[in-house]
Amino acid sequence: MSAEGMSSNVSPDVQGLVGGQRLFVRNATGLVRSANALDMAVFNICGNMVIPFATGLFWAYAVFPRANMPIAILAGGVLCAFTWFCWAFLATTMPKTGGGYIFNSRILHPLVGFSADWLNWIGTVIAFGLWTTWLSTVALSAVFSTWGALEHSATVAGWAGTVLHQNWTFALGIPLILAVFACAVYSLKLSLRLQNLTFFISTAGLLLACVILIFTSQSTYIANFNHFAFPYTHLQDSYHAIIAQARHNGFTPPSIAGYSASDTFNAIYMVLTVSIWAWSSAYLAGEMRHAARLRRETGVMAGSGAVQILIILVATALFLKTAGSDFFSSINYLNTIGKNPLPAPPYYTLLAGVAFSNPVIVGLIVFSFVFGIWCGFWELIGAASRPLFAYSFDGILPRRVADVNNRTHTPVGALAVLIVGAVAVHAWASYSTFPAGFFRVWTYTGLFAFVMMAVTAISAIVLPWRRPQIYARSPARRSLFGVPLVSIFGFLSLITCGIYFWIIDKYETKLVTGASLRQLWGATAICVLSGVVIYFIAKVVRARQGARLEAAFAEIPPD
Amino acid sequence: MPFLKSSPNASRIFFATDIHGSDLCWRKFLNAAAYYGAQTLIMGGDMMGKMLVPVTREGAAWRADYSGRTHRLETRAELATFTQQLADVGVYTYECEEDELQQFADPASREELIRRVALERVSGWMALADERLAGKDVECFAQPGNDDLEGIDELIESSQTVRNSDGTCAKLRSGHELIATGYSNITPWRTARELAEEELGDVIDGLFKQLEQPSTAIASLHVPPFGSNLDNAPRLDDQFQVQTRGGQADMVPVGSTAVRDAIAKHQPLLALHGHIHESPGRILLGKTTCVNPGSEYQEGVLQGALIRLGRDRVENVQFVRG
Repeated sequence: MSAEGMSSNVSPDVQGLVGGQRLFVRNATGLVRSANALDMAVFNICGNMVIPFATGLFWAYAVFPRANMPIAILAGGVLCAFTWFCWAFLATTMPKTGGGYIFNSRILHPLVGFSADWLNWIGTVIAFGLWTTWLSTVALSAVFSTWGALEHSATVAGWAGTVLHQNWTFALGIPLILAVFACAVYSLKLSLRLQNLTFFISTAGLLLACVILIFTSQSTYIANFNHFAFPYTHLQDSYHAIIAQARHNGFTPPSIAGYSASDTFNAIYMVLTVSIWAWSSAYLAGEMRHAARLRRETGVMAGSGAVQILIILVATALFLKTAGSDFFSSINYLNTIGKNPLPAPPYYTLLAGVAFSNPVIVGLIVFSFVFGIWCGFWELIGAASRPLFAYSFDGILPRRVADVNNRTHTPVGALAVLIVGAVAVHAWASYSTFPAGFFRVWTYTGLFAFVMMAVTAISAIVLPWRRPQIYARSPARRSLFGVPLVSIFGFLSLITCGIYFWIIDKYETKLVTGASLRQLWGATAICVLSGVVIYFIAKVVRARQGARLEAAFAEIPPD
Repeated sequence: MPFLKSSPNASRIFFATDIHGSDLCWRKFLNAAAYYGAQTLIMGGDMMGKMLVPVTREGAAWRADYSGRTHRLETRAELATFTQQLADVGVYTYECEEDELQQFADPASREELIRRVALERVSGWMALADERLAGKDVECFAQPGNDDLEGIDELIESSQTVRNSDGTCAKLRSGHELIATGYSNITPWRTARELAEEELGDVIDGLFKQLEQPSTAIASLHVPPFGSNLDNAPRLDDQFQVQTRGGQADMVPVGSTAVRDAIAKHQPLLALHGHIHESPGRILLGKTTCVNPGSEYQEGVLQGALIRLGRDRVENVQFVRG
């Protein structure tokens, strides 16, 4: 193995005593040091920083208005941490392989591993619909409405409503899909460059909004909001009128109802769906196993997750301080019942944008948000293409799915499958009734992923007993009062998943999913079943080709 | 439907590579023929491990540092279990007194110690192969890779059942010819068997000249062809740290242009590769099916490719994680 720009100057911890331990290492290929921890941390959160915060947490405030959101965010962060540690222990035990599919296939059973991961893969493809419709429903509508208000242009402001029409939402998403996929097919490096660029622009926009919110008083915010909203509401004091309208429609704002423990607990649902993904770097690993790796994995996952939680916490607190929790929850409540008087959903882009009367700053905030759409959508494409390789490599999907184009070095087959899925899901999300359709997509995506995480948690629990040899060699072989820590974190992660399922189960109506519990779990069962069917079809096809599918997973008896 | 058909006369080859001292992987490799119903076993090189853990006496017990922990082994049985666990993932152990460690202060003495212990393991492996494969209807080939040190060729050749395929042209029972080389192009680590591209090209061309029928031959060339997607490895800096792009490991092609040119020119039926553990896959270069099964030896997992080979076509390649 060689690399660009390398010298033969081998570093001491690669060639000699590793990490001060009494471990002799000879000069041999492949002995490298892991990726920079900061890079891995960025990878963990780059798709989930701006956009999910911008929508999910605002919505949570409307659904559970009596929630003490900062406490919900902190409690959700602790629950997420159980899953981050669980995945860190598994990734340390099985370095290089990584990922739920491999963990579950190896520890439990190939059929279980594939079915659970297939479900998660479907959820990932469904999530395409969130990003492709957000371009219109969250990004462009906010851009046009704030721009129109600031420029006193009814034409531009009218575009905000236009892009919310289903045909426009669908039509505008198609160029986004084609552009992101075209870059993905053309060059991975170009796609990664654009990912970095768009991530930093969108994050800078969020941070800029936070900095300005610090220096914006509530009275200034109210005045600016009323100025913005007048063309749509024709009221001088739209701010208070919106709170009153929400009350008229049966909503009790937090200042009257007070905080509720159950709403605070239930708001954790949204924190889980936004912040649990900090285990993504489980897919990046090195060859050497040592304790430093466990510290590094847990540090990277917990560290990046904690930073994300902190940023969300600070941003939420700033919005509450400036916009006021009554207004904040009232406008979101009206949106969820379809009575939003504004031309765009009241998410971060709109509410942050209207806080400032300076068009340049507003432009920076709202346009930077559009870049976040690109970044997050590309991240999802990456997340959805990796499993296709693994399934194809194991013979479950046809080999052509994992073919890499010799000229562009990109997985054209996998991307072709995904673009068909992206267009189909985009059509479904675009033509579903908003907001129920949107949140139905959100719920399916989260539910499918949490089922896979629950299966992975079970793998972690049983690892020391199901695969004692693998566990015995693991640097993650740590215990507390004689109980393996990997099992403890697996158990706690399972509780986290259980809380997620319980909230969905109990608040089916409140979560405005537009789908009944029977539909949700029915869809889950159908998707799992489709995985089982695919597995058995592959088994028959491979048998006809003279190969046993099970051979791909079965361990050869060594003796 | 051709994709559902397989020829009853096709032969079955099991190919694995880069086991780097893993005792468990070698034992699985020897059993792979019976397990998968393969007639031919091919080991593609890099059989020697990279790491050694000294085990020193501490009173009546033994001490070893591994996985960031100090292991105190109270009995011979505990020591044997520990030693075998490390052997299974390719790590050598060396039992000595504490003060003997001073002898290994310089890198050259450590390298020599690892070489000596590694050769002992390979010697044991050949004995095990003779025990398990003798009298079986299985042919077994092994070749050194660029990481394999001096002395390994003789050990392979001393076996009654394993044939050293390096630098030779062998005929398989199926009638296919097999050529092999464990040399790689130059790596940053400057390992034991490396050649400049031009020299490597000459070596490979020399091997192809020995073939009677290149179009039905198998070429086991340790290093994969450049830019084939079987040769993507993380880009490193001068401290051997993985470089990232967009938060992901920045993978760059590091294979051999000489190997690519040779395959393009001679178009063997099948090309077998290893060397780059993180780039398993199968591709077509012209008419040649190129395969790299990758390696996860450090988990005791034997990654391999089970290949069904007709007289003049590759019928099926199945990747397995034994």
